[in-house]
Amino acid sequence: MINSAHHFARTACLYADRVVIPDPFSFTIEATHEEIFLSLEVLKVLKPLLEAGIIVFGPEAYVACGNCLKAANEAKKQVASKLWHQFTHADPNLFRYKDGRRWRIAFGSPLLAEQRISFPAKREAIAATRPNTLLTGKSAMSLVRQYREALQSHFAFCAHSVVFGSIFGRNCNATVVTDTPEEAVGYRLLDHRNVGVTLPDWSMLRTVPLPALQSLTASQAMQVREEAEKALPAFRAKLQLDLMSLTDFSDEAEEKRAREIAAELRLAARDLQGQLASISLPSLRRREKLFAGIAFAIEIVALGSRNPAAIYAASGMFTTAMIAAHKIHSDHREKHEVLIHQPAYVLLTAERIHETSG
Amino acid sequence: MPTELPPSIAFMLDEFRDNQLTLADVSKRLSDKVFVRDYYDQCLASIGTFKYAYHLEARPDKFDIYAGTGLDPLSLSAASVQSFSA
Repeated sequence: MINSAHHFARTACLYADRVVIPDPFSFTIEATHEEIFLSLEVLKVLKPLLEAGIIVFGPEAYVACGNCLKAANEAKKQVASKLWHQFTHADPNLFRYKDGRRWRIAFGSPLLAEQRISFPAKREAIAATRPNTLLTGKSAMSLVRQYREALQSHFAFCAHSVVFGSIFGRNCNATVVTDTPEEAVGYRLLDHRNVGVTLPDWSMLRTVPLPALQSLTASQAMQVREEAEKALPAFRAKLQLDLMSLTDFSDEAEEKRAREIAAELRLAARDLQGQLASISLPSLRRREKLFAGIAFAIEIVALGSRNPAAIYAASGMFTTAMIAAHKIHSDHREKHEVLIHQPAYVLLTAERIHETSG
Repeated sequence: MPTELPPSIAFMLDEFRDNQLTLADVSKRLSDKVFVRDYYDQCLASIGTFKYAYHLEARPDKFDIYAGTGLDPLSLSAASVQSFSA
């Protein structure tokens, strides 16, 4: 959970202006001591982002009229049923693995991508499988049927989360974002039924694989937000525009576009790095110092001559030289200002933070 | 000035501000009836008085998101879901 807190900080909290999460304490009276402990550990990691108002809390319960409740329950049922249908019709597979001293069965499917739903292994499942060996086809389906109740409960909970998220996202005036494939499918099913008002292309908002950002801790993510503050709006706009401009809505197309954007950003970062380096090259600095040096020298000579005409002329030259020196400085500032507004500056900042902390 | 937190969260973060927090520390405090009563009072204060994002105005020029269960690091729902690297 600590890792997921850092992951959350470097993805959602970096890409969004504000992130709403449900209050984990106030509405939950049945939480176990362990759940409260884990929530506290996560909140401690996220504390800088909470204090900065980047993460804000939404309620974890709402009051609904009978009709709304009925509609929500109906939507949950439909989403759960469709998720189950998708799972069983997409060639599910499974394998048995040891977690500590206990055997577990991990179910997978294209629906879940690299994630798996894992349950304690029943005696029959242990007998029907070999350790760490992928089981597919009819044999896998036979075990899927044995675990039907547990799997359906899992999808029912997922459907509940999707419907709840959709309602809360709308009421919090925010776009709903998730990073689990099954929830993504759930939201698409919900969108298709026109339940909830999320952005129709919300599922395009995937995490773009940018190595510099993928290993930031929560406090480093906060640092990136502060230091690359001017570049973040352009960075977010680029991600949203590029990811939402897809005409092909398949998972493969999303993934491909996300990778292309990542490559474009990485390339832009290198280009930007070169431009930033060029405005602080030693030769330019020397030229700047030379101008200032000449100005200083001329003033001394002129004052030393005690000749008012010479002083006047020299002062004019001094002023011109100082203006030139200031002009270069101001050009630098302007150019620097332009560069630090570029989307790729976010990546450069993250890389710099890694370098200094490493 | 730090953003205001729901009273229950502020209370818990303040009570458990120690960096080396253990499950035993939390269990011990949660077994104390007086502490639990104070905690519930803060929960009620959160529900009754805190201005949740539910009531915030839309910001069309900003990208505000609601973290779905899968993304929410405080969600304990994914207990049965794990990532496996092939």
